[in-house]
Amino acid sequence: MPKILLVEDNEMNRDMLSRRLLKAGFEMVSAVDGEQAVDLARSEAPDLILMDISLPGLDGWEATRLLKAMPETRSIPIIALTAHAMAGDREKSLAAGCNDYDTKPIDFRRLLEKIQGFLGKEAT
Amino acid sequence: MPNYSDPNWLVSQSERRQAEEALLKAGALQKAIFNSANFSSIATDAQGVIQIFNVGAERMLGYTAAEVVDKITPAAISDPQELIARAAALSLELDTTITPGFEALVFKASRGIEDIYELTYIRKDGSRFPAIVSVTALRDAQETIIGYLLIGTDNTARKHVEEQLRWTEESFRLMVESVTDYAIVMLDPEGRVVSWNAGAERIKGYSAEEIVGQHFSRFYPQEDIQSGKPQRDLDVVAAKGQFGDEGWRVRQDGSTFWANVVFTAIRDQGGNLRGFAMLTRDLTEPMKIAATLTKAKDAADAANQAKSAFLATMSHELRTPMNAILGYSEILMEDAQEKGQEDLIPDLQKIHASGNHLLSLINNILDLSKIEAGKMDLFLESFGISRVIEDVVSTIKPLVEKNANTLQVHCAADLGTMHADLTKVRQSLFNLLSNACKFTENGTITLEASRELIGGVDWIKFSVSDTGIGMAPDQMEKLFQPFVQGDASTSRKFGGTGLGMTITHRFCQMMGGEISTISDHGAGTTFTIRLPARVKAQPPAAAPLNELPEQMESADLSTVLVIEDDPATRDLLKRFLSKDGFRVQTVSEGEEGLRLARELQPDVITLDVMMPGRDGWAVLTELKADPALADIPVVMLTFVDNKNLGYALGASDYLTKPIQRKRLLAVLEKYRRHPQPGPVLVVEDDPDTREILRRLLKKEGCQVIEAENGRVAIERLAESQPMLILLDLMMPEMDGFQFIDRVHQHKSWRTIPIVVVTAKDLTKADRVRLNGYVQEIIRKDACPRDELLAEVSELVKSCLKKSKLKTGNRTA
Repeated sequence: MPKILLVEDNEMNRDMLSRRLLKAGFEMVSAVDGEQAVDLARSEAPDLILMDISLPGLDGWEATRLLKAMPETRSIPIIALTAHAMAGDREKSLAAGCNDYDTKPIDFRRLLEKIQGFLGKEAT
Repeated sequence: MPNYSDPNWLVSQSERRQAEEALLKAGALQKAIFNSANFSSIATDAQGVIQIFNVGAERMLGYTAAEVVDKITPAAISDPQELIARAAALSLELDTTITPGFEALVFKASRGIEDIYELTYIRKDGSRFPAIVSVTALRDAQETIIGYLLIGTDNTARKHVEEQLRWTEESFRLMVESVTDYAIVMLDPEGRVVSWNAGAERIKGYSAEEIVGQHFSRFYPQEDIQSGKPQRDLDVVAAKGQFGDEGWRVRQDGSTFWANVVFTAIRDQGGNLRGFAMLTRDLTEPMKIAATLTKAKDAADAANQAKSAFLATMSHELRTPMNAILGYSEILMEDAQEKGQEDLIPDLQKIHASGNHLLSLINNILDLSKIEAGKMDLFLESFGISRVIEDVVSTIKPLVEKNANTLQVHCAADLGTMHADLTKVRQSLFNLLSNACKFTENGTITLEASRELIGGVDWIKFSVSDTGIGMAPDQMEKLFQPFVQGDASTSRKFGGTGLGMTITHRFCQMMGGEISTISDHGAGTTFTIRLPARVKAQPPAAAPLNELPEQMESADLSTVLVIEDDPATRDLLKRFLSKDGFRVQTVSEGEEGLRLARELQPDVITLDVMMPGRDGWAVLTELKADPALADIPVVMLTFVDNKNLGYALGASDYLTKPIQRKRLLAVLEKYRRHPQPGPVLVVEDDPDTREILRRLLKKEGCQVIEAENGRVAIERLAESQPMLILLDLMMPEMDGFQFIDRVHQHKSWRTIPIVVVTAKDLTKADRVRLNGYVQEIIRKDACPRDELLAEVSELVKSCLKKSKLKTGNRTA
């Protein structure tokens, strides 16, 4: 069962999204901020990370940069999730090392496709 | 009787005849002069009693000769007051008592002094007129005075002209003197002040007494005086007749003002230079006002930007709870279905639909604020037009059915592909269709798409017609303005933010197209969108090539050190320069600036001149004195134009405030550090395609490295770094995807722009894999071969252009 790390500071959104992904058949781990995200990424070795960008303390971009700098987490695909939708956000996310980018509110089906795209790629 | 016995008689007879003839002639002449009607000729005896009174005298004075001859002296027809004054003056002058009568008129003449003077004659009717009178004493053979001749002319006309002239001069002088808005100064040919008006006193501070006779060069600043500008100005005026100048001038108190000066050379009728007129206006205030206006405009622009930023933030804040609402309602719908509580589903659907509606409103506001804040980018790609139309039509279907409308779609057979922002084209079509659905009931909505060739440009035309309520002309005017709907009741009845059309309008503009509309109130509306079949990237928005790697790899960015005490300017410079891809370090004063310059070794320094403490000149001098810093180019930023000093101290460039973004960037671009341009790497397994690309690139003047698959390409990369990679995806041994993965792992390769040229039908997963790693995807089958080549050629050109810029400049 593929394991997903969901990094999201908003409790309701974290709860909502992890329940839906659980239901879709993923094993879920959640982090509430960037530091916890880095810790869990190392200890849990998830197959994919969903990264909210506006996080307290270490933000999503910084956390991504750290994860992409560490050999043990470098290869984990990261999808940035943000309610920002200004030009440059996408570039900034990709520049930070995110493998993809999606905007909130989540279109669940679209997100699933993206996740499967990465996990499918991993599998091949 | 003649003495005929005299032998000389004949001779004397002839002599006498000659004498008589001469006498006769002279008599006739005298008579003619004497009888001239234009001169009054009055002859008196030695006592002054009039003996002869000619026609001219009769005419001028109104008396007949008979009335005056042997009766009165000329004193009787002269102004008695003047006679008294003249007698007194002559008594004083000649130190003898002269009576104020006839004697006063002829005294000088009686002493053999030629006398011409002005006096006032009184006519018989009592009226007066000015006359000029010449007085001559008549003497006999023994030089005894036997009488006087007074010849007079009427001086009225001349007096009148003189008076006129005096009045004109006086009024002109008064006018000039009283003008206060202009300094009107007359100079002599050497430049000394001759006259000085009230305006000159107001503007320059000197009073007329202080300045008349002084040289005009004192109005110039010291450096102008030293450079000899005052005399140069006069030379130019003397040569050209007129000369206008604008610049700083100095008041009496040493303060300066910004002056507009017009010099005019004044010459007499013979062409000799008589002096100069110098007209000066003080433009300091208008300059200040213009500066204030600019400031106000900047503030308004900033406020507008702030508003857009606020809207964007707001929209973001609103989207976060929307995420939860939509997500939970979806969970609940699924749960209800699974647990057999299907009665709950319609209500949950309503929550979900309202949530979606709210979200679309928020999205519209966000879109608009993004457009207004200049943060909306174009993502250009090639796509099939029919596919987009099918896509939009299936999305709009529920809306069409809602008001019992029918949708008809007519697509031309030759639609083919277009190169544009797919999302924006789709959204524009969706907006037009949903607008048509909203305002039409039980009607027909028609979507047509076709290709047009206008002015050599290939256009795609989309039009959406409805049979709905239509619009009145005044509604149509407001159609594309944000937050203004057809009328206030429209939003209540039909809903929506009223932003859809505005956004569509802006999207079309961004893509270089247009939107137009025809409407009949009550009989429906047609909206037509025209977009170029190949949308060009906008300079500020798109240009993905080369910009991305610079942002990604900040170590490759050129560093600008900004030394500036004003926080607002500092912030502005930082924003301008960061946006243009510089790494920016700011510092508020010179000491810290010098320290940072040593530490950072920036590529260029911008230096403010006016700073408290150590000013820009001092900092510049120190920078240039330090061998470790002397080579860093310094751009001086200043309100005061003092280029020479700047260049003398070693500044590389000079910019005057207020800073204009364009000029700033143009100047700093010169000092941008660039990696050396390399060749183009073509990774392609098909030898024919490779050959075509190679030829094309050679034609553009590029060096070409070829590789028939990813593995070979990696080997080539290890040998030399190209400036651009053209990459096929489907290749043996190592395909494009694997190649990209390998390239991305290598730090120094990561920044090389990659353009994918592929015939592969990309799946979503493929796109995700390529996302962020490649600059552009060109579909081999999306357009005819020559268009493909044109596209590649354009990409290479823009790459080359940048790298040429790079090599040429880093010498300063």
